[in-house]
Amino acid sequence: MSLQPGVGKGDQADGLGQPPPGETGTKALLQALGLGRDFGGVHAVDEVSFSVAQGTITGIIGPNGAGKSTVLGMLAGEVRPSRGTIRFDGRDLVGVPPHKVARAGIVRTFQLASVFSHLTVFENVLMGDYAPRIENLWASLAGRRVWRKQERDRIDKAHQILEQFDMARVGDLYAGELSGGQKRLVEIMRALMASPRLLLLDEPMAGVNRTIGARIEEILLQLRSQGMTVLMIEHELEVVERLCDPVIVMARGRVLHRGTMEEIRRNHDVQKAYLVG
Amino acid sequence: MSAATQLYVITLLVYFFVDLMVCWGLDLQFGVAGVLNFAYIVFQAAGAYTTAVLTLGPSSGNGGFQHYVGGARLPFPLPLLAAMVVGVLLALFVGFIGLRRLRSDYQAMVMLVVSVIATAIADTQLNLVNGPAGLALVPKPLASSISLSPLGYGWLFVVFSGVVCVLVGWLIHRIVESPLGRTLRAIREDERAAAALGRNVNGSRLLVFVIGGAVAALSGGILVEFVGAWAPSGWLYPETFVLFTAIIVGGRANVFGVALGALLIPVGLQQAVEYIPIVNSPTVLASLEWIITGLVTITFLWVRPQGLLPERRRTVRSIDRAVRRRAVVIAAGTSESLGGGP
Repeated sequence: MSLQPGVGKGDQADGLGQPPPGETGTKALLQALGLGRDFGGVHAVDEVSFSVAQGTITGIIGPNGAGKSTVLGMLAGEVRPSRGTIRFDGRDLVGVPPHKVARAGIVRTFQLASVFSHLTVFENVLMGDYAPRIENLWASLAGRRVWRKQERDRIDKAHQILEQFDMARVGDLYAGELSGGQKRLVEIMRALMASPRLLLLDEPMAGVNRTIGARIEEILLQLRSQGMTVLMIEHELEVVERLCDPVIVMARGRVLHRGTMEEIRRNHDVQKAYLVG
Repeated sequence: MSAATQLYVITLLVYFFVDLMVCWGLDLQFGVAGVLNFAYIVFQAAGAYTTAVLTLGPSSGNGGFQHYVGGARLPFPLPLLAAMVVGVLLALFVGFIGLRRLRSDYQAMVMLVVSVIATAIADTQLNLVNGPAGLALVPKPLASSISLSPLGYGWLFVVFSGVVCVLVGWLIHRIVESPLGRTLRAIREDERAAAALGRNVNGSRLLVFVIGGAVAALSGGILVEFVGAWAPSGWLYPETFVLFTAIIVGGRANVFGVALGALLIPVGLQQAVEYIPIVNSPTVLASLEWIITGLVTITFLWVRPQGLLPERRRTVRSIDRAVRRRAVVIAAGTSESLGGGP
């Protein structure tokens, strides 16, 4: 089984928007225009514009407090922007609650791995697939004959994902019993179970040992080759260099630069604000 | 068995079934979905009052010594069904205010406040449900049309409450073991992650709030039909904590654990305290009951937070088996009909 990204009507070229002014490249799946978020009088994020082209892994880097996670929160519907627009496949996502953003095809992971601790690893992966036709009161009361087939389909898919991640042997463990790195894998497996059109990763390498980190890298490269679109925040610059193109640099709530890691390294503003501190 | 002993057993059994129903309803909210509904007893009270006033007839009846609104004399089981409707409506109202846009700890505080307000209103608004005196002389359902001795009627009531209890347990078990149940448990574990995977957290919580509210109201209705009386002092907010203790002791999100908890705490502990010989004052007895309940809760939260019968681990095999057994049987049958097999 391949880790195919979700396919929906938005995958048609007509639905894809143009990149924000100043950016070139392929048509964008996601566009953020003039995004801002204030907390009290503080502009945590201000005038942030960027686009994410389909089939790319776009990286966001920046020092602590740059506003990276706030931007991710806004894209996922968790944080309501104070200003600006978010367009995903031509649809405005500002004000859309997180569960509807997820149903639109944007699935995220969290800075601190958020697994369902007292659900088994297998159940965690199953949770990645949202199935409204069987996850309702009437289907529950009607019994297995109503939900058996669809449940069986997603169980099969979960088995395949677990095999692919070499995690089948821990399927019966509670997710809370896993190491930090394994929890990261569970989060990613769960997200892939959702067949997202855009995968948002918040520091996927944080707290992960080298072996699992290498495995995650391998999986992300495989996903990219299959056309999955990924936007990831990451502090490990070597990982960003290997995986991401383009890379967006943020500092003090703003986008400083966008380009390849090579270009970013040469940029004086980035060196000053990010690499120097 | 003497008549007195039979009456004692009948009372214990009806109380057990009522407590079990209400504990299962609360467990769906708290144990399965993680909603801390500290106002749960209010839903039972609402159901009890609704059943009482719809059974008693007009307020002017019985010499007019009780004052309440909405009196009617509806035939059994309409008062119980009406109680469930009231439970649902109350759950929608309270849930809409208390569950949206609030973190779960603040939701718990809202529920506690709802409970206190409800008791204050029932106590002070004398014409609503007859103030602190509450309602009495609630007729027993079908008592006039069934020619049974008081004990025979009592045993019939045990069967009725037992059947309703089993039905409620079966329905809740069906929900918990379905894909919806998994979603509810996931919301309990991490609501942010559940929302990020497309689950409507507020909607799911409101759903269990409504189901639990209906179950609590039904249990209250059955209880008032058995006891024949109901007063605000019987549903003060600490009563909810007794139910929480039963769930914590028995094992949250486990229907059998909750059944054990309902047997040990609201029924068993209460009876055990009454047999302590040094206690001869009703006030001391009530206080001792609360003290012991509190100590049991703390002890279990420290020593065995998962309860006596912990939540069942859903292994890959059990999940597979739940959806494949029938398919395998059908496949085997098809194979035979096609001439397969040795």
